[in-house]
Amino acid sequence: MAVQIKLMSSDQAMLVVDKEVAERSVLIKNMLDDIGEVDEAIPIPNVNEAVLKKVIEWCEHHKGDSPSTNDEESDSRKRSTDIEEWDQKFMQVDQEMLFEIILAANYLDIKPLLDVGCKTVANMIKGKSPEEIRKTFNIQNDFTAEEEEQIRRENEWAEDR
Amino acid sequence: MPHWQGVNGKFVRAAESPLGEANYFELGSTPGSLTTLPERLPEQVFRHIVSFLDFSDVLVARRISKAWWHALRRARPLKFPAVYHMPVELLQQIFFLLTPEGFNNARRTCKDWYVSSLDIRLQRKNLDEIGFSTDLLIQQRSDNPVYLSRRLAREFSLGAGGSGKCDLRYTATLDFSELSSTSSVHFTVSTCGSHALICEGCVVYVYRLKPSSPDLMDFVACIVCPRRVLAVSMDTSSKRYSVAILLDGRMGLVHDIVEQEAKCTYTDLCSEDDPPRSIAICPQRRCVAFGCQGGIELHWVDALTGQDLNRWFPLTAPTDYLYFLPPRHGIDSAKKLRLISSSVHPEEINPLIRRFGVNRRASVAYWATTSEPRIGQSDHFQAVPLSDGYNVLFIDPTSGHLCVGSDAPLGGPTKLLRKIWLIPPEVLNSRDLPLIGTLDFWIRATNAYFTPIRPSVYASGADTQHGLRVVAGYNGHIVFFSVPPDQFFGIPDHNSNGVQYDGTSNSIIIKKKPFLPEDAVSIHGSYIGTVDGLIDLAVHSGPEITVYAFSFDGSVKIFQLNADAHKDDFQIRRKVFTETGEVFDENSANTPCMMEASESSFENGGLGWYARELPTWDGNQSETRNGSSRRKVPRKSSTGGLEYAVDEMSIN
Repeated sequence: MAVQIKLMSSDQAMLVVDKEVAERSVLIKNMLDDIGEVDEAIPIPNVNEAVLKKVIEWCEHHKGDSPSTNDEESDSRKRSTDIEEWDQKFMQVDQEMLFEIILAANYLDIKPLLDVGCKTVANMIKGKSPEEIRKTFNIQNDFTAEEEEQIRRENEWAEDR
Repeated sequence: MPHWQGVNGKFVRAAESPLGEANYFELGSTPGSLTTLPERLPEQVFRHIVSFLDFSDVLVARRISKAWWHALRRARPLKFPAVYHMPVELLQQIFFLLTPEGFNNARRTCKDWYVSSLDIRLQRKNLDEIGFSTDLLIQQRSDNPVYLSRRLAREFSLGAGGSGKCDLRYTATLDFSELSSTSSVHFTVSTCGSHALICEGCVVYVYRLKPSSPDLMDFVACIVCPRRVLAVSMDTSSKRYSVAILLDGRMGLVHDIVEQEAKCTYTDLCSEDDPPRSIAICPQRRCVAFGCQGGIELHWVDALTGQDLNRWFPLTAPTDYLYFLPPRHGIDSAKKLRLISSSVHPEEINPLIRRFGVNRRASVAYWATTSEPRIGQSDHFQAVPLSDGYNVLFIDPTSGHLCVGSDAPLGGPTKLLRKIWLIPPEVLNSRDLPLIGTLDFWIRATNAYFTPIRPSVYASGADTQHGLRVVAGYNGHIVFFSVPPDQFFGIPDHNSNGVQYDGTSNSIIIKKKPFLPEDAVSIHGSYIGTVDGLIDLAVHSGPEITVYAFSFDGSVKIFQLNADAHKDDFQIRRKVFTETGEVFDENSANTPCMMEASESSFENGGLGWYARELPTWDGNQSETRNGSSRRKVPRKSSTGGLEYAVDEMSIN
């Protein structure tokens, strides 16, 4: 039988999860390596129950995945934004939940989940005009006409790095 | 355990993260929703999202909002060409190495370069190099780089430095053909350059040249004469609003167009076998001169007795062109009259014939049959005074070039110094004809190759505070010359501390070196357009610089500095002037836009009557206003040796 550990969400909900699944989080894995066996619930103060359940759901699905490499970091701009079909469906949530998942993945140090979340947001930006992006994220355009013109001209001079 | 905490939906504390050092974007006061990305995410997370975006998407994202723009500046800083980051000091150092023309082009490259060019030393250096070191306004405003920059831009748009590039563009056509019952309209520009007079039979229409007016020319008055009008003269430089008119049958008329009924007539002018061919009105006194083949007949009103007096001055050359020179400031009193008389170039058409047509009347044709001077006999042809009272424009007989000069103290009264040579663009006299323009242009240019290129009409601007503006017509091709102040007024004598500041009068005193022949300079002109049947020109040299080109067919082409004129969709303004004083705008729905002259047609607002109020006047009723004591000095025969270039006399 797999070893289980307890996690305490920010809203005091207790969740029991397989240790193997929980160790998809580098933060939790390092902590368990440091303190050894623990019976008490591990507090996750920045993640509420709903988000923590979603994160555990993702970790359970990907518990058998091989560890990610850092090869892509060398040229991050050319990284693909392709997302697996299961992950695409997993990320079909409202924007509030999407950003909570991203923040939780960042906090818990689950890089593959962070990648999926960031790719999802990047795909929401790609190919859109500034006005379409504002609509997508409900952003108010606070530029003056002069500032917009200045940025437009600046963009004309800019080169890809 | 490090952690982050949300407060009011914004992050205020850093946490460790898988992407390295934790930083959060500054939480500014920019309002945003809960889903405003840069405000909700730690910097490294936002940077991670941006890393999946293409460059084009990054450029788009910069335009979303201020928060995004600030965040992207840090997450994905843009790379700009090295020249974009050139320090101002380095740019200015480069600008100092350029020619004035190169500098003028470079500073218009972009806004940063333009701002970098706004350095007083840089501006003054380039203005000095194009001949504006003695410009009084520039001296007074030398601490204002924006003014200096605009001055430089204006001068380059007028062909400074002999670039041959002038931005004067054809902007409007005024049609006066309805004023004439024939196919020709006879324009004469006033000596002061501010009015145009149109002669039609026995009527003279007076229009003010006013670039700021919607119609560009404002109707002032019309004068009905008892006989056919041959020539007219007007000069308002000393606020004298009168027209002197030479009529058929050796008759002359001076009509005041401000004071109603103020007019003088002159009869039996010159002689039967040598009728008058030119007329000049004195700008500052009640005086008029008539020129003929053998000399000048001067008429004036005696200031003490009120008598009308006259005097005959014999000359060896025909007086085709006759002008009073304006008083020189600080030198000439109002009593002193100076006249300049000159002949038409032997290969040119007599001005009367050009104005009225060769076959118009036999009485006109015979003016051309009298003996005319040959090129070798005359020092100059077609002398026209400038507004400064010192210099005249004239044609050099040998080269055919237009010159600016003054009377030569050492060369006798008939000689003129050649201080400035005005050279037209080579294209007007080149075998390598440009493949541009109309067939007419090509034919004219071809003709120009086989005959020496020589201007037939020319004019100068009265306002010379920024140098001299001259416009000249070469076979209908109009060339604009801009003579900078250093060349026109003369370079200060640096050996004797030539430039001095007069604190009492707040002006610059320039001590000039005496002119030497080797000091002569040449100024290259710029072609601005071609006008068929060109008979006269005027240039308004004030801030609204404008060239008026008058054609025999009754049209007046207007050339102005207009930034939109080079565009394909630029619409040339077309206005039709009618006999009744109405003006129709052909660009709109043919509605009259001016019904009658306005008071502003005169600077002093003194216009007292309009065309429709003109009383019918029988010229035979009175000959002169003071008519009793006209006397004629016995005419002297021409000695053949004496000829006055500038004839000076003092009368009471």
